[in-house]
Amino acid sequence: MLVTALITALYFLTIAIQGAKEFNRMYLWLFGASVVVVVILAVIIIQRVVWLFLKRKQQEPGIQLTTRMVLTFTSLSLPPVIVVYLFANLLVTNYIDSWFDVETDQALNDAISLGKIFLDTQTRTHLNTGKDLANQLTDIEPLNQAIHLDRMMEESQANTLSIFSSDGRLISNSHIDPLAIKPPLIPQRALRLANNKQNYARIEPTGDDKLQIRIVVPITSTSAISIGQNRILQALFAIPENYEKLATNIETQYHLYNKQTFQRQQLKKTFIIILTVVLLISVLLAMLKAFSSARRLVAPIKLLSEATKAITAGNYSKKIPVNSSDELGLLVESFNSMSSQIATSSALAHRAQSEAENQRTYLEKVMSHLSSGVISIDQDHLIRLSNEATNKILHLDKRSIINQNIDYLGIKNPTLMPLIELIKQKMNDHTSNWQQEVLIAEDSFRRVLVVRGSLVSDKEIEGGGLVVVFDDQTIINQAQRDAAWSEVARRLAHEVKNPLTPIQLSAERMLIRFSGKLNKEEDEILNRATQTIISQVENLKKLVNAFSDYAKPPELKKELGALNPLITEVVDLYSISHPSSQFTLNLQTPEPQLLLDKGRFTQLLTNLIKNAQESVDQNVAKIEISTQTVEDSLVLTISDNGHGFSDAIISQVFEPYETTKTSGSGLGLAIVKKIVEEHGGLITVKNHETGAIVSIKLPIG
Amino acid sequence: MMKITVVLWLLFSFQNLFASEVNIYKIKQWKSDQGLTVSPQFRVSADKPIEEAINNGIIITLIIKVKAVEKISWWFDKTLESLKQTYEVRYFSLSGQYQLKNLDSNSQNSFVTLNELWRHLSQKSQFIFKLEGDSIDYFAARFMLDTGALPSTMQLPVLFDTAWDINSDWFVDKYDPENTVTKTSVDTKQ
Repeated sequence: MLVTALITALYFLTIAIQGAKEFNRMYLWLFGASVVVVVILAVIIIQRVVWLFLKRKQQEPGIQLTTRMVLTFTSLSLPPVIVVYLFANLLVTNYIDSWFDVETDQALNDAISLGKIFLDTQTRTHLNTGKDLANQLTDIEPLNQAIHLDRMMEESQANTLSIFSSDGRLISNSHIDPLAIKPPLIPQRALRLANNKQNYARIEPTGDDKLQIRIVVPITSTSAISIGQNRILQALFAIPENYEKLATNIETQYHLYNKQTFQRQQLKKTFIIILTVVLLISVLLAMLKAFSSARRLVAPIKLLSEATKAITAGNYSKKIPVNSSDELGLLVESFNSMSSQIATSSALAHRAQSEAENQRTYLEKVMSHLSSGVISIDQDHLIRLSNEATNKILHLDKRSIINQNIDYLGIKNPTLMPLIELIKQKMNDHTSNWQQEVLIAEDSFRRVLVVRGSLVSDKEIEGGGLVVVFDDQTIINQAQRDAAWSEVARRLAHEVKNPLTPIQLSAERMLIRFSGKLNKEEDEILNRATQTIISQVENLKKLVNAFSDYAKPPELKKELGALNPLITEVVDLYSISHPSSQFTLNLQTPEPQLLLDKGRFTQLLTNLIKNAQESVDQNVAKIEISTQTVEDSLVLTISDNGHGFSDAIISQVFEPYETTKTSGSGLGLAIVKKIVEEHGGLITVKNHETGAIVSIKLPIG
Repeated sequence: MMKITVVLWLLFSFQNLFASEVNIYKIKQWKSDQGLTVSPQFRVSADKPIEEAINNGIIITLIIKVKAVEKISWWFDKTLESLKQTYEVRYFSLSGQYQLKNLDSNSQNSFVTLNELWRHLSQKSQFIFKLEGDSIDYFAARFMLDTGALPSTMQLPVLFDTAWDINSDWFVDKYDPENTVTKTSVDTKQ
C-alpha cells in the first residue's frame, strides 16, 4: 500500500513539475509525502538490517543464508538502477539545456523589441491625439467640457475619455460602453506628472491578455474659474485586436521562455531530486523485497534446521508445515515423511530395546539364581557373559569379569589355572560338547568342579565362542564319598564285628583248653598266639567301632552355649594326662554364644588336641588354642609345633583313612570335619613354620 | 568547534543581509457606509531574487489576512470574522509595467516600478467587516507569500531561502472605537 501511494505521489509530482495547475499546489505535499515514504522505507530497511545483525550474533539457523540472499538481491538490483539513474540524469540535464539556445533567446527578444516598437509608435500617435484633445478642451469652458467628451471620444476612437481634477477626483467621464459602471482610475504617477505639466503615455496591461494605451495630459484652461485648478485629461485607447493578439502571444511566449530560463537550474535540480528519490525508492524497495524473499525462501530451511536439531535431540514428533509446492515444499514433505519413519523406527527400536532389556534382565535374574556358574567366551578369549554363581564358585571378588580375558581369572585366583587351561584347550580343539571334572586345590581345600562346555558356531554368533557351565561338585562328591564311606563303614562294622567275638572266644577257649597240657615251648607258643589273636581282635573291634562311629554318628543335641568352658575342660584333662604338654590359651572374652552339641564338640577338641600332641615327635608339645570373632562367626584356631602336614596329603587330610600315623583308625580328622559340618562350620588346615594350624569357623548362634 | 560556530554565524548573517521582510506597523480602522473598514499598513522590503523572478515572468501571489477577535478570559480568543485578499504581482515585458491584480475583486493596477507597486499594496488594501464594533477587542493582520502558487520547481528552494521570506507574523492592533473615522467616498486614485 505504501509503495502504491508512493508511486502515485511521484506520478503527480512529475505532472506538477510540468506546470499542471491542479497539482502545483500539492507539489510540496507530494514531495513531502515522497520523502516521508522514503524515510519510512529507510527506517524499515535499517530495522531489518539491525535485526539481521542481531540474528547473526545469535547465530540463528538460516541467518547466514538470508544475509547472503539479501546482499545478492541488492547487488543485483543496484547496478541497473544506478546506470538508469546516471543516464536519466544526463538525459534530463541535456534535454533541459537543449530547450534553451541563444538563437531562440535572440528571436524572442527581437520579437518583443518589435512589439515594443509597434506599441511605442501607437503610444506616440495616441499621445498626439490626447494632446489634441487637451488643446480642444482648453478652449472649452470647464463646465462644458463634459458635454464634448462623447464627441471627442468618437472622433479620437478612444475607449474612454475622463477629466480629473488635479487632486485626482473624477470630474467627468465618457466610455465607449455606455453600460460600464466602474469609474476609471488615474495612476498616481500619471497624476503627478500631469500636475507637473508633463504628459503621461504608457502601454498598460488590462487583464491577462489585453493591452491599452493610457494617455494623461494636463488641460490648461485660461478661464478665470479654473485658475489655480488644473484639470487633467485621461484617454484610454485600445490596441487593434489583431495586433493585440499577436503582441500578447509574443509576450506570453516570451514570459514562458523567460520563466523556463529562470527556472532552468531549479528545474534540473528538481528532476535530479525526483530521480534520486525514485532511485532511493527503487533500491529500498529492492532491499525490502530482498529481505522478504530471502526470509520466505530461508524459512523452510530454518525450520528444517530446527527440526533436524530436534530429531538429533530425540524429539521425533517435530513436523514442519508445508507452505509451498515447489522444490522446498517437496523437501519439507520428504523431511516430514522421513521424521515420521524415524519416529516409527525409533519407537519400534525402543520397544525392541525395552523387550531386549526385559529379556536380558530376566535372563540375568534367572542366571543370578542359578547355582551353576555360567560364562561365555568369544573367539578372543574375552568373557562376554557371567553370572553371580561364577564368582562364588571360583572364589573371585564381586568385581565384574565381563570383557576381561579368561587369563584374568588366573590372575585373580591362581588356583583356577587348571580350569583355564582346560577351557583354552577345548576352544583350540573346537570340541563341540564336552564335560570334565577339574580339581582346584586352594591351600588345604580341594574342590571338584564339573565343567561342561558347548561350542557356539560363528553362524549363531559372529566369531563364535564357547559357553561353559560349571558346578562345584565338592560337597556332592564329599557327601557321596561320605555316604560311600558310611556304607563301607557300616558294612565293615556289621560284617567284621560279628566274627570278631567268636574269634576272640575261640582263642580264649583254646588257651583255657590247652594251657598246661603242652610242653613248655608249645605252651609258650600257644600263649603268645592266643594273646596276639585276642589283642588284634581288640584292635579290630576298636577300628570297627571307629568306623561305626563315622558311619552313623549319634543324633546332635545342640544347645546355646559357650565354647571356652569346653576348651578349658579338654585342656585340663590333657594337661593332667600329659603334663609335659604346654597349652597356651587366647580365648575371647566375652565370648559369643554358639549352638553346640557339647558331647560331639568335646570329641572334636579331643581329636584335634590328640593329633597336635602326636604330631610333636621329640620336643615338648606346645599347643596354642585361640578364639576370635570374625564378622558373624567364631574362629577357633589350634596350632602346634609338630611336623605339620605333608604336601602329599594336605589336600586330603579330611578323607577317611588318610593318615601318616602308624597307629590309629585314620578317621580322626574325618570325624572332626563331620562334626564341624554338622555345626554348619568350616574347617581348614595349613602349615606354619613350626607346625600345623587347624582353623574352625563356626556360626554364632 | 569555535571556528565552526563563527562560520555558521557568518553564513547566517550573510543570508540575513539579503533577506526580504514585511513589517505591519498599524491597522487603520474606520466606519464607512459599507461597514467597518480596516486597512493594515505595512512596509514591504522585497529583495533582488523576488524582483528578478518577477522580471522573468514568475507570478508572485500574496495574501493579506485580517481577523476581528474578541478576547475571552481563561480561554482561547474568539475570532468574530476573518477576511482574506489575494493579490498577484506580475511583469509585462511589452508595456514594461508591473501589474497588481486583486483576485477577489478582479481589480488591477499597473505600475512602472516595483516599489510603487509595493507602496500601493502596503497602504491601499482595505477590508470591510460587517460587524458591530462592541464585541471586537482587537484586529490581527498578517501578510504572506503564497508559495503554493509559485512554479513547482521553485516551491522547495523558496522554503529555505530567506530572500523569499516575505511573510509577517500576526500583527495585533486593538480596536479603538474612539479613533474610528467615518468615510463615505471611495478613493478614485490608484
